[in-house]
Amino acid sequence: MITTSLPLMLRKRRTATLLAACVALGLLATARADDKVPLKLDLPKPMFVGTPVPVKLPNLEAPRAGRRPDFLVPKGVVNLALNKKVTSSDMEPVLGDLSLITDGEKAGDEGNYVELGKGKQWVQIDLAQASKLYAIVVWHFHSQARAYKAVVVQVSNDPNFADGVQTLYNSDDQNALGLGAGKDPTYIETYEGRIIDAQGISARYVRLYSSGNTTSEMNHYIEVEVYGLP
Amino acid sequence: MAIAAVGAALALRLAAPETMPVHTDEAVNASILGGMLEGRTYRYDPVDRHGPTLYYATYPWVRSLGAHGLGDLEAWQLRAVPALFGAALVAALLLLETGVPPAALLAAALWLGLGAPLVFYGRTWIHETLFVLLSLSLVGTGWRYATTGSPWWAVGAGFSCGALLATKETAVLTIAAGIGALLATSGVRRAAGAAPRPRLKRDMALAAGALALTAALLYTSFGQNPRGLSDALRSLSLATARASGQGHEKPWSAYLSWLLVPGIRSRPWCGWTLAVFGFAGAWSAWRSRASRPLPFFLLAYTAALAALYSIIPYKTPWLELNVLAPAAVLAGIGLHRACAAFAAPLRRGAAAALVLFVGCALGSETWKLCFRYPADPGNPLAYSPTVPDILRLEARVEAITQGAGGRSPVVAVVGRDIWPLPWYLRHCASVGYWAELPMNLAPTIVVSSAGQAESTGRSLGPGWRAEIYGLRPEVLAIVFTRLAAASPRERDRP
Repeated sequence: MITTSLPLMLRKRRTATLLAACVALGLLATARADDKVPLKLDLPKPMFVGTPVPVKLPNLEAPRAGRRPDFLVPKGVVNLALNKKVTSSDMEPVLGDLSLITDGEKAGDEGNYVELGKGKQWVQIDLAQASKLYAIVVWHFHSQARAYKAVVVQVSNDPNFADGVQTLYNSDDQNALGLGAGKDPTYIETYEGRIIDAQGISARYVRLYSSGNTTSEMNHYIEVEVYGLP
Repeated sequence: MAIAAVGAALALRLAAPETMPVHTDEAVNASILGGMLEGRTYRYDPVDRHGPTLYYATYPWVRSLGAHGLGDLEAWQLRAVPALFGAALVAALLLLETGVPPAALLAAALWLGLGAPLVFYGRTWIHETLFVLLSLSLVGTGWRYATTGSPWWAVGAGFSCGALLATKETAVLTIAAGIGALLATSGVRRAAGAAPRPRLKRDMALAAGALALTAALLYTSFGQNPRGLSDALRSLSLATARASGQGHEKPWSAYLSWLLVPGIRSRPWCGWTLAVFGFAGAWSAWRSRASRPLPFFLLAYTAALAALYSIIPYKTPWLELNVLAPAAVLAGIGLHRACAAFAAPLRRGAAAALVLFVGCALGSETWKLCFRYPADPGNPLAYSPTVPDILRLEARVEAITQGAGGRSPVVAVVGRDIWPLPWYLRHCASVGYWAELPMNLAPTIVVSSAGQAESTGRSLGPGWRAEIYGLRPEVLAIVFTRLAAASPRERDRP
């Protein structure tokens, strides 16, 4: 007959409980991961055909064969930016108006984009309340092959972006904007837009910078979508 | 008034000449002129180049400024030449003085001096403004001969025609339109009972001699390249093949679209006002065809040119100048007639208001297209323009080559679609151009066309970083720089 002392039995039970808890947590985590779904984007009509720059270089965007890999987001995310208020460093755009940035229209034709002045400019979207953000998708301009310079995307709960600023993307390798040198790649604009991982950060304001492009010194936005949980 | 109009046209073309980056065609022309400055004999190339007049017209000017090669040239020096031609185009209206009312010619000077297409290409060092000047000069000297019978005017017309032929292959279109218009006008004149000129054969021989001598001198590089003559003849068949488009094919309505459809940058006031007053002038020319041959000739000539250039699939915006110049004279007649239509007490005020309106409208379009957005893809006159990003590339290359210290930095340019880089890299002491990167080269910096960037990157191996720059809309270049030459922050990059 095997006899076990009470403290030992208690220890074993505690261990078993811990193990069960770990398994349960693991299962829960798996279940939560399973809750993630591919981000579904309503893409506009392509405006130019083929890969404009078949380049595979260290600090430039590598070309992609086939369709873009799925970007996973939690179930239930929606475009929080739709029809939300947009402000800008250039409140009197050269072409179009700021409301075009969140109107849901992503076609690359004339009349669907806003053009901001030369050099460093930003646009800022007020999501009306702080929310957990998972993806920011930006279409600068996609009717011809061009790359926008010094693209920086930040989020914050401070409308002035003085406190609690988190940078999600920064291709400003020369620190032209003065926000710090970035290591993210420069990329050629296409109809697919650029998906930026928002990492589940909670924020109310989204600010996007650029400083001209390879065709002109102007800055353009067709649409910005911000996916998060309402 | 005429002097003021010419002076204003010149000032407008000379102002801020480096606002627009140097166009690919300007860069190609500059490399040809650079060769001449370095002492190489100019040889006419009929395959993909225009005639020699622009180079010979520019050579003495830049030489007088001390240029001895491409590296000594500046854009303002080159662009001063078409600016002078553009102002001379306004002055050439005086040749028509006896056939068109002076007030109508002054009105025409509004469009020739201030119209956006004429100012834009009068600020660009390409052949077209010179070509249009020679076309108007041919019409004007021909008209003077027709009215005076002086053989000197016949010789002047022959010289204009010879220089026209030595400027661009499209001279055959101008001459064909001119002959067609002349036949139409002669028919009308004969019906009206006008007598033919007595020494016509002698004068035609003089004109033909002046034509042949001028064209032969220019095409043979003043006797240094006799083959230039046969090449000039060959260029006609090559141009016929090129007329099918070769990447520049557009529908017949392209010129109408460029001239009349509002763009994102400006309303096309030049096209709109030319259409309104040009039709008024055309109507007036048609009605007075028996008594006033020159307006009728200009109407027929404009119509023939418009038809020819519209039928030919090859179209670029600067070709529209050929139609706009004679159309401007018709518009001047139309504006003059419109002013005259007002009752006497109102005439002066109405004329001033109309001229002010046309001037302001033309001026606003010219300001936007020639000074504010000269290289913008939304500018209908900026055909495949060089984008401002190229200045960033130029500055980057200069910064690296100057930072190379005592070493002689080698700049390698790889790829075929690299224009206008030879212009922007003209100050680099050691720059070479290759279709593929040579194996035995040790460059400090490599500029590659986007299409060949990946193979260039593979050839270079590790230790390089790449930057992307625009050359023209849709045409990108990749600049490779050595990480060792970069700043510590750049070396830390992934």
